[in-house]
Amino acid sequence: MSVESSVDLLERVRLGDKDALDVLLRRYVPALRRWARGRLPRWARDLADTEDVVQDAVIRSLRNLSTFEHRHDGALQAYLREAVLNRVRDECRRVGRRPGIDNLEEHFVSDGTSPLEAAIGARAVERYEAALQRLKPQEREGIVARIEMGYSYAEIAVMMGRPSADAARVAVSRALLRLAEELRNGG
Amino acid sequence: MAADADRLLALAEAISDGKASDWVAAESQAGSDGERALVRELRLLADLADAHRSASDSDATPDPASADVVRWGGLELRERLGAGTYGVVYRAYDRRLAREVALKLLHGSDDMSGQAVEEGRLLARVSHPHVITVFGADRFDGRVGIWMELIRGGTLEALVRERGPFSAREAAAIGAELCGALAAVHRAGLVHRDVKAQNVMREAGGRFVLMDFGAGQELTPGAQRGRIGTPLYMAPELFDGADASPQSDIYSLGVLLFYIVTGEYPVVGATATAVRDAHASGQRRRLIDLRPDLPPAFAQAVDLAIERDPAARYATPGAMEAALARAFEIRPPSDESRSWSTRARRVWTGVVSTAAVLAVVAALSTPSIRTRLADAVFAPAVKTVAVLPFTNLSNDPARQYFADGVTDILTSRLTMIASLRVIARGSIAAMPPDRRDPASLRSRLGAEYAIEGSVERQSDRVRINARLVQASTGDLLWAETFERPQGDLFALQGEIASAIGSRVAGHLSGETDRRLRQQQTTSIEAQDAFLQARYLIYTFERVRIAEARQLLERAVDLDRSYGAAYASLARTYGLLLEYNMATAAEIQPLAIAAAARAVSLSPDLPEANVIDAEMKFRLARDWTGADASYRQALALAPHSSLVLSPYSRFLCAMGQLDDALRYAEDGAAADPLSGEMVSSVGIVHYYRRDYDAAIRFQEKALAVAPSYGPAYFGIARALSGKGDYVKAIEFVQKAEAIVGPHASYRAELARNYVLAGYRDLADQTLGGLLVEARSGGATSYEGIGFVYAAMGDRDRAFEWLNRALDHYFARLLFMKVDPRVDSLRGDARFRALLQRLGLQP
Repeated sequence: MSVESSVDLLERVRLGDKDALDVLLRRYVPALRRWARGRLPRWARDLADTEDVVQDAVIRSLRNLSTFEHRHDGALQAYLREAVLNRVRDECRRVGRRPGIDNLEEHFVSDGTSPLEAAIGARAVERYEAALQRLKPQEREGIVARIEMGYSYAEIAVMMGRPSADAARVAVSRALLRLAEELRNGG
Repeated sequence: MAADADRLLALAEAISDGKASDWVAAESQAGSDGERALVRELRLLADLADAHRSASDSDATPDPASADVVRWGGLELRERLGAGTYGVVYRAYDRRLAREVALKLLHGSDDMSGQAVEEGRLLARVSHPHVITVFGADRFDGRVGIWMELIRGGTLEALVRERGPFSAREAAAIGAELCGALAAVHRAGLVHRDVKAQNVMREAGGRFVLMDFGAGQELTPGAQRGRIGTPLYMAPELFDGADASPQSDIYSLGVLLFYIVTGEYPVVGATATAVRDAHASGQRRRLIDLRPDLPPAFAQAVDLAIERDPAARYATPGAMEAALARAFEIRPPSDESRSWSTRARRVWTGVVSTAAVLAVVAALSTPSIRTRLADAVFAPAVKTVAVLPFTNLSNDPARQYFADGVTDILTSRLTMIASLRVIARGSIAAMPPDRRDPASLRSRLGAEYAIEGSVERQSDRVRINARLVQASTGDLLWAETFERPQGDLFALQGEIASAIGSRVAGHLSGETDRRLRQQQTTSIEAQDAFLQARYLIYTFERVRIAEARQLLERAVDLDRSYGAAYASLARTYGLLLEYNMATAAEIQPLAIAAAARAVSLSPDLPEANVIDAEMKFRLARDWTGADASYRQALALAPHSSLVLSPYSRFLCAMGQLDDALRYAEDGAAADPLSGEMVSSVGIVHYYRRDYDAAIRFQEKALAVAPSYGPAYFGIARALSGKGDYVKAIEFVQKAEAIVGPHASYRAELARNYVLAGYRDLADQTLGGLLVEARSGGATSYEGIGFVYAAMGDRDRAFEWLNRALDHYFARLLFMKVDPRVDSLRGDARFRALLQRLGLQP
């Protein structure tokens, strides 16, 4: 049984195919939701958790792809990630909700750190992001798909047009090494 | 070198696979400095991968559905309590809140269900100790349900039947409480429509609760629902087809009081038609005939409520409450230590004659407050408006901050109109963008008007289109386009606010108008920096706060008289302190100075007064100065949650809990979908030692904002106050799961371990905190003090509380009211501690 690439599905979505849309949503939304949680401050969880927000952002993005030109699935993923993050960030911004640990005395020891920042430090996250941008798009997408979004090698193979799961694994590992080099060289 | 390359690739593969590696060994095997550095970076990537993995693993796993448990939504149905024409009521269990609730599952066809959910959400707007707390309304599996607090007790009806009629004094006390309840219902823009003895419950413990909004509906003219109240309790004008009103609710309450002291009704009939006819022919029984022993003042108070002519009855439940109180010189429950302003307000709401109002006005010295009251006299009803985010028409997303600024400033200008209650931005944002239609704004927020528009900015010109819509009908009431050269947004938004304000609220006083149109700056560059900074501040992300600081410092540099920028700058300094991004020594003087400058440059800007008050409260410990600034802010923007909430918190610290409660409730009315605001009401109840009410409000906060972590912590504190230490521990852990581990949470755990008798766990946790303190790390000094207090070790308790004061006294500002130090209050050292804080015992 062949699995359709996201690019093909997208074509079908553009022609109004609702089943294709369902497949794309099932493919991307759960992982995006998980990913969004890791990237946002804990107190924004209910915004990311709301099925509506993430799914909504994805649906809107897919609809707005008339001007979008992408060559591979990884780019689509990146585009969706961007859209989701912006959307959730906008919601946070509009809410203007102050994070806090204790509404009683308001000594806000907690701040806007995401679980990720809390784990490895805000500076490290900044460096990682910057270095990631310096990689080639395919390399970047492979790393994000595997490390941040937790896709399996088989799924990544499909999304990135690799011949096999093993090939995807090799590609991701090589990309990680490149990323480490960029981090070291970039400072 | 091939071997090195293989080794490095193997490490990368392990990271990708999610397998652990021996990093120390890997670093030692590296052949060069360059390679060693590479290994370290790979290690960072491994940590990052782990962090992502655990972030997604930490999802709450849903409860495995058990086949034989009946569920609806997130609730387990446990027992059927009763049924009626509307639906069935169950006792249900909410696993997340670990408590039982009452769930009303409605019958009804699909096309009614949308309305029913909206109705449920209307009820959730009301927050009052004597009104049943509704947590939420939703639809699952095709059925609409409303879940609310579970009341264990009996109805007033049953009480009268079992024990006979009440005494006048008892009835007056019950009446006073129910008047408060009705006032809260009306304040939320609702009419109850079915006040009767069967709809009031007396909870075990004595609390009377107004229930069963089955027939409740909104105060919109002409709205017919087809559901009527009980004929014996119905006001006569309703039989003639008039709309339900606050007056008809008052009538029903009057009948209720009549009934509970006599066991009879003023107007009787076997059928609805018979009752209607009795009204028409003027057949009614007099209270004094049925119970000649009743004090005349009480009988008159009840009679006034059941006057046939609605205009002859009390204007408000508050007036009725006052009359009942006067009959027995009872002080209505929340009347202790009222400040002069609230006393004045209570007098005012009960008074009808102009002369009395003028007397009150003359008694107040501050001219600005007199203006506020004057506005209120001519336009007594406060109208609720919701400002939707203005859309950014310039196609550049980088310009979003400008549209956001327009929305924000317009909202803030509108709060300066005394007869408007402007819904805070947080509650608007809590509604999904595609569900902000007028009807939803009305039902979820109580908004009577919606304001929306668009912003377009071209090189040197600005074009703003603003629209005013009536929420109940969706009708466009007003629209106007303002096209100007780039200029002061405060002045422009003030102009728009003035136009809107006069349409909604009627005539605005000259003073208000002048204040609205006041300009802030002439420097476009400074304004741009200001707007961008505000946009960043709302993300509450550390990096962006730092950026905001720089932008604002630049803004005031460009224009030294930019009051609003100084106010935002002061606020930013405050955030830097809270986030431990700067030392107190460095930031504190800057914060205080910026706030003082803001208020001296813009004394009519509510934000400037609030931030000045906050600095005086939290940093300078100038209580009198803080109170004056809060009051000034309140006079300028009497219904703004941005003023009411901080002021309420300040009043808590001062020990003025009744006023604090009133302001917290008012603040929540303007920001009903904010977890923080609703939780704040709960906090005031906690300080008042009304732990059950505290828990109710924290649960309501969670109903509105499910992952507002501090609400779980608030529940934990209240449970601990009640003595339920084991459950308190459970809830601190729930809070931790959402917010993350913190020293204050650990301290609270330790405290409850002590009180629950888990000595080993207590010692372990306390030990951890002590280690942190000794190594000079950030920890909760006062928390350690609370643990020792719980242990009964007063010496150490005071030692650590004083050390907390040395470090940062801001955390001990609530010592006057914090239940956790109750065991220390008798000690002379406690007085000394309060003195150090500058607080009166």
